[in-house]
Amino acid sequence: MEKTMLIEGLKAIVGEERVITEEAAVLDAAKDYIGYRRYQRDAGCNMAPRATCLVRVGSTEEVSAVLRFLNDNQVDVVPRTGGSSVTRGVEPQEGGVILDGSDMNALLKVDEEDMYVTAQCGMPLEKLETLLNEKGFTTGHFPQSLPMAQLGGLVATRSIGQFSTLYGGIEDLVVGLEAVLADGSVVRIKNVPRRSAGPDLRHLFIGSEGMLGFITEVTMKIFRYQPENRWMKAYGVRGMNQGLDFIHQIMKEGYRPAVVRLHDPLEVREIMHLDAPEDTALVLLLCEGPSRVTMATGAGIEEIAASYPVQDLGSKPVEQWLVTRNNVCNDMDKPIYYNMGVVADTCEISANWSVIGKIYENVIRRLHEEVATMALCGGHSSHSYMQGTNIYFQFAFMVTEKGEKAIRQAEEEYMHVIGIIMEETLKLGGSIAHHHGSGKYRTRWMPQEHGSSYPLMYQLKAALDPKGILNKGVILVDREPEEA
Amino acid sequence: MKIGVCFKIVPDYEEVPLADWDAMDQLDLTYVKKMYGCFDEAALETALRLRDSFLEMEENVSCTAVTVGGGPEVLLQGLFAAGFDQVVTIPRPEGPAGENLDFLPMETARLLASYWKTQQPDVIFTGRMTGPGDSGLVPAYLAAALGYDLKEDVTEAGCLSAAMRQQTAERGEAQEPDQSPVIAQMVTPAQEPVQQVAQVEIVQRQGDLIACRLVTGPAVLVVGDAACPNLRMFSLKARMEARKRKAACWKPENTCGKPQDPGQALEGGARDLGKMLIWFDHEPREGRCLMVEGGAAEKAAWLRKALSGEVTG
Repeated sequence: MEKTMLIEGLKAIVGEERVITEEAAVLDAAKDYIGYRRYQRDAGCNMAPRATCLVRVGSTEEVSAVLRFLNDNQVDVVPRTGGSSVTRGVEPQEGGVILDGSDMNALLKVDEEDMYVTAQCGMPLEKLETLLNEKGFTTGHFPQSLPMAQLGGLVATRSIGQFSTLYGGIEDLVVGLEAVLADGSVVRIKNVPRRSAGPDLRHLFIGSEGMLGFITEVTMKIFRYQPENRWMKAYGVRGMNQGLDFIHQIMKEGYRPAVVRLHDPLEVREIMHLDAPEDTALVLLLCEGPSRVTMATGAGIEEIAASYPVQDLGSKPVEQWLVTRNNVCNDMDKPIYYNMGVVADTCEISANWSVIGKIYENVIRRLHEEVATMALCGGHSSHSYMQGTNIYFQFAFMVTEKGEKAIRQAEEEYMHVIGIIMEETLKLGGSIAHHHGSGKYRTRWMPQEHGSSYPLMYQLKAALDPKGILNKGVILVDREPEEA
Repeated sequence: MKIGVCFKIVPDYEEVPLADWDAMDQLDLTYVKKMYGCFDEAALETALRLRDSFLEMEENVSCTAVTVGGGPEVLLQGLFAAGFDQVVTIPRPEGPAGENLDFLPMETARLLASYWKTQQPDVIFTGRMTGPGDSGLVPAYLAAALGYDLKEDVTEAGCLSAAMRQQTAERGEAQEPDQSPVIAQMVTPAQEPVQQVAQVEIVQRQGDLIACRLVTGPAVLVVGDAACPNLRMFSLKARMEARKRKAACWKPENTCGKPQDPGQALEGGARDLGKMLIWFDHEPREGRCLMVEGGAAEKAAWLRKALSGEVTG
């Protein structure tokens, strides 16, 4: 569609002031925090594709009308809300449209009887949490992106919070939702505690990364907010394997602390700078809820700990983690890593207990051996389940080239590192994306991730977005015409 | 060229939960992340950059980092990985002087000076201060104790380019490079320096004023808002190699000596001590207000005269 006609058509729907074409604003809306994009921006080189414009929608009706118009004219569109993406998930197609729902930020209902809250997609999670805390409730959802993230994006990326072992991921918290399909039709999924009426349609949108619809409204569970009942404890353990075994035991025995974290010796030494013996890993545990439950859970964990050669470090390391856990958001736009000449980032995977330790070892070994520029690599487990856990790999590599070559090296070396993590995870049957989603940088590994079920993704896409306008590039690998 | 750096490892106070500050007398910082003092980290990196510039000129250069009190091994070893040839720790003195060392800048400077006297570095970098609440006096005391020149608010340092060396050689003495718009100032040590062996170009920044100076060692260079405030990253390989090395422990002969009288140290001939003396002596100041009549040109002319001391009324 011709650019002027596109802009005029959108202005006719949402009004002139809600269609933004200034390059700086459009680029800012497409800003993604994946490590190499941060490096490139800090080097003065914004490599993100340029959208034609940014459309700030104010209601479900506007979303519907805009999508209908874009669908009729086959214009690519990427949905966004808070803009905390680290997977290039919010980067548009060249010449496409960014549909921003962050102005749709109303709190619609807090139902204290049925224990849920309903808000529009642009409701900032931190604001929602504060509002709920004042009423004595919590969402139980605390991703590291808390200061930036908004509800629509959290659901679309299948987010998870730091207290997930108790409260679950967002898929466990969403009661119902409203979404708009590519053709503009509005679908609502009602708020009930559970039902047995066919496949759960919430999951068409939870984790769809905007490729199946635009989420406009979310209803989430709420819980009693009782931080005064927290039980906290840190343990020093000998190495990652012993740490994994320890937290595995806690889960296997059926305990449900809210926070179960295991930081490997590299993080303990090189990132936390704790003065600990060289192979010390750190376990952080936090229980939350009614005091009788938290005390009983704490006592159970202490009983397990007594059978391991662990060092009781008291509650201070957990308390400190609590106050600093989201600080990273304050520095996302600062050129700290660039000034140090490195690209730094994280990558999360998950796997069953039987293989997770091996995946961790293999990845770390290969990063040591195969990435000559590697400056730091380690990881932590931060979300545990009865069946397994995740590993959040942290890495930093040095950019040794100068100028344009450095820009290329940042991306190529980054994908080299990611490739190693993906390969080793897939090799042992793990999942290559625990909670950041596919975005546009992990798409190439999605066929192996899903195996024989992958064609279903294309069928869902064909059914809900037959013209393929919604967030092209996430989850689905581009297929040749005859394959499609 | 021998380059020295003084640094201190401190807790990251920003990571201390607010509730903990209420229990000040029992504040437990053992669990808090440790780090190089922020200005000290800038001093470490500035020193390495100076070293790099000498290496580029294929000159012999060594870099030594010294701290009083030590810290986590990983931070000490990290300095080897970053490129320091030597890392030295000086134990805290026993007794009250050691326990209260954070509040005894004179004593800290004495310990550092006793080590540096054995090494005679050409320049010594320090951070402006360790962190919030720190006296910021150690660099001046150190310069005084060593009889070194003192240059504050340093943001960058580099060795002289070949052209600059030729220029200064032709002039027959160390002179300021004539580079507009930077402000140049002849450096004349108050007393004969211990050893005149090296010249270093430094950039100083005081507010909006940026000065490029040629410093003839020996000198203590106090790093403020450095151009590169973070210590460089290094490869995993260098990190693994560094794990095999240990910081040397150096003990001065008198580790529990009585802190020196400040006046005694000040007689050492340190430069730029006027600023430091403000800490001890407050000169009463008075302000006056008067109306200057006339147009802009007349007012400017009057102001010029007033600033040059020609107008007293």
